[in-house]
Amino acid sequence: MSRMTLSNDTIVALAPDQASLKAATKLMKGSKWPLRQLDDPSNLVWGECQGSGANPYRVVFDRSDHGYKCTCPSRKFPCKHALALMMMYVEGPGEFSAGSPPDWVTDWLGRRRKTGTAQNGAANSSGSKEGKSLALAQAAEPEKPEDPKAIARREAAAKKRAEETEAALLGAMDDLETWIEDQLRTGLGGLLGDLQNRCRAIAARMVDGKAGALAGRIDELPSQILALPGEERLDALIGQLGKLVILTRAFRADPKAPDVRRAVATSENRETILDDKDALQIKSTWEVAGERISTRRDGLVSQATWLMNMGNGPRFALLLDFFPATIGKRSSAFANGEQFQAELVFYPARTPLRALIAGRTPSETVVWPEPPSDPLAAAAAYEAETPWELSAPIMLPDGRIGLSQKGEAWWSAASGDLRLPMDTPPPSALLGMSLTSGAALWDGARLSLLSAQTDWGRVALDG
Amino acid sequence: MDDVLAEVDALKARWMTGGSAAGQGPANWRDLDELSLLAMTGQYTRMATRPQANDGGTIRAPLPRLALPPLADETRTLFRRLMEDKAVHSDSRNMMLRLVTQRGYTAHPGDWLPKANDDVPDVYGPWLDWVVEAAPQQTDAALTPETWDLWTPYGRFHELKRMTRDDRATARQIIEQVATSVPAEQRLRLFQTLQHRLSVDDADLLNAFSEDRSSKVATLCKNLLARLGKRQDDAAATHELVDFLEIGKSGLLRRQPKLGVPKMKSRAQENRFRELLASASLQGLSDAVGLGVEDIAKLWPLHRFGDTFAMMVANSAQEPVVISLTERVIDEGASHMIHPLVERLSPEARAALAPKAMKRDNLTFSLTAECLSDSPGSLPYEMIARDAHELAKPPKDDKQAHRHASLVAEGLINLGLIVDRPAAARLLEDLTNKGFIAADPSLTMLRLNASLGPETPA
Repeated sequence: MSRMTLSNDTIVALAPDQASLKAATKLMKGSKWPLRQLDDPSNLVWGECQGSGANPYRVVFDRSDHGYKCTCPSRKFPCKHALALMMMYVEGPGEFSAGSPPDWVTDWLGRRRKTGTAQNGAANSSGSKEGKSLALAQAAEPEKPEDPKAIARREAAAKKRAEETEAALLGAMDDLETWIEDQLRTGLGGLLGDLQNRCRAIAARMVDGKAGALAGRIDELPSQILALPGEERLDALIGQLGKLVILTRAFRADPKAPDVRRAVATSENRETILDDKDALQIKSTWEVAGERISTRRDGLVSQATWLMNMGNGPRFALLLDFFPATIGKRSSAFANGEQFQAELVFYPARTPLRALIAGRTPSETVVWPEPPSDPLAAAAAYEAETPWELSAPIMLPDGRIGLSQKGEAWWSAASGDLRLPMDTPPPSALLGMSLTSGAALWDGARLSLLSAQTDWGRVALDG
Repeated sequence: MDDVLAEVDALKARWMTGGSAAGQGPANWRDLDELSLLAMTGQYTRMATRPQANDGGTIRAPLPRLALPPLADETRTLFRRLMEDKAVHSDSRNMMLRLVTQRGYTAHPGDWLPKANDDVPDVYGPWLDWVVEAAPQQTDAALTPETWDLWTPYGRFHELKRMTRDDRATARQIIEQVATSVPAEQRLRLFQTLQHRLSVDDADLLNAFSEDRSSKVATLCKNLLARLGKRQDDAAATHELVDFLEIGKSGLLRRQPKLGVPKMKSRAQENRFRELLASASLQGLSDAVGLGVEDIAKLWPLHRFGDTFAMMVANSAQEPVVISLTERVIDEGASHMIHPLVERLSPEARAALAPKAMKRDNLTFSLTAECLSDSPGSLPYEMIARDAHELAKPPKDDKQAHRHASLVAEGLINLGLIVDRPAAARLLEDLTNKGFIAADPSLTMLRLNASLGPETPA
């Protein structure tokens, strides 16, 4: 197949603007790219670039016509990731290992072939280089000595903003508690009848009070409650409101506690976690136990990937990403059941769960660890440390899934001493299988099965 | 514990209707403020109670192991991808299931389970029974009207089909007696077992049910009678149908019969014509127009209500005429008509048409796939390679690129279903050398075919 030569001039011509080139040069560090590969026969070059989220962005370009695709939400085409990958390739193709195009690359290729045009990146090597310069983008910016008074002003302003934020957050806690008291006084029956409107209103007040995470949680409350049968809604509502009270009290007691602050305001960025020398780091073999993707009321899509530790340390880890729903469906970085060696860095918490992948390599398949005989003990321990959290990941021992006459699914332990209701009926084949072990989420009332080892092999239940 | 629960329930009731519950609840909670009381109630309910299954929940019987092993994990990925691909139609999926079975495997239940009454390879019979929660077979005795209910649903129909081959008289007796006491859906299945190896001895039974209260059963019986030449069409309807047609002779010396379907004046007329044609029999039409059945099959203008005509012939004609019409449809490239005709033919008759279909086929290989639907994965490399290589050529006209890509995609699916395993492996290599990427999703059916061998680990 003929190949249009890729050169720095071509890349400059492709770049939408100078700012993109500059941003791309900042990404040209090997440490940001846990994966860079190419396949000569197909002219495909691809890589994974670690962005600010838990999941890396996947980037691919075609050497033959300079078509490209990136999973990041940028509206610039090509984005800085695609430009950076091209630039790194031009500078050092030897840094790319040979490989077979993975599924996500061939899927992109398949879609390109069907439309007959280059998708998400029409080749446009005849683009203008006007106003763009790679040399300028790569030039180090001269360091200007800072005025001490400017430094002092900046620090004072930052201190003032921090104080205002703390005051706003405490004000938000007051507002939320007052609102909950009002609901109790006027009757939860009325709240259940007007959940969406009332929760939307108090969530908006949380946003005003800089309690973004709390706002997002309150926004999702109505859909969680209304998904339940009528006879369970009051208990579930009391449970959720009670947990909000626990959270406000925990925040007042220690506003700086990282797990509490994360649940109320905002999460730390990736660099902060990776740079934290005290952060828990676990190197082990991890398996992708399952994934949950949901579109939130605030227009963000939440992508939760659950990892199970095949070795020692915390049994589960959660990779959490958010991206705008407007960018459309985003393919997962990992396949359910995939195992790899990875170093995970955990966000500071009483019970570490949310984590980032600092680095990973392929691994040989390892069998699941022995499940505990009491699956709810882990959930109880997690609840004791972080009582404001809504659910906990657990491992299930051997059991079967049955259906009630009303069609509700129940997981029953083989020992016969535990039966847990499930959130949704599983695929019918699972009703005929013996589950030797399972990975699931337990919210105190319902089990959400992620995957299971069965007498028919491993079964995944992505939702 | 019951006291605590009752007091907690009282708190919930208070909050439900509205009002303060401070100072209430279990004794050691009474000094808590309202919100702390709420938090305690929520946590207590969560930790100390759990929804109960009202009826205990039913654990199903274990999913039975089948006579063949399930696909290996690597092949399962390919199979699953194809099952989820909207471009793979249901007929192709069914053919894929037959291909997998023919190579000695079954689908993994985590990837696919049949639905009740699906027409699937016999190996999946135990799963068909499991899906409908059938009781286990309760007898080793032969199938008779008396033992009918003691056999499993799949088991009894499978045995009945065998009996229509080996002991048709007894099969007829069973059908006659059982049909009076089962629902319409099962009656239909009973009579469907008579479709193959139809015999004049079946006529009395078919007559007895030709006015069945289920229109589907009645229509099937009438169609089977028509194939035996023993059906009396409705005279008025037949005359109305004939009135639409143009029948005559052409030529000066040799007066050849001519049959035409003129343009109709309105949509209502077209609908009426279609309705009359669909409910007619080929023999009845032949008797009314004075032309032989073979002549009608030869003369009917295929571009005029061809799909309805094909369906009528498939339903009511004997196999030789169906074969004639199928050959004509293939010759004239009227692929939209072929499916009901091929469905009617025996596996041997279908396979015999494959060489003709291959000569006339286009990039989609759809005609060939129809003819080989009962014998997937059988075509050797030498017979198909030259045509298969056409798939790698670029479109002649850039404006047709999108349509070309669709034809190629369909062609690769059908190719993967019809070639034998060595051919699949060689074609993958050929197509890759001609520009396809080895991991291109459109090659997945070929890759599945090439991976299905006796040495594939289960």
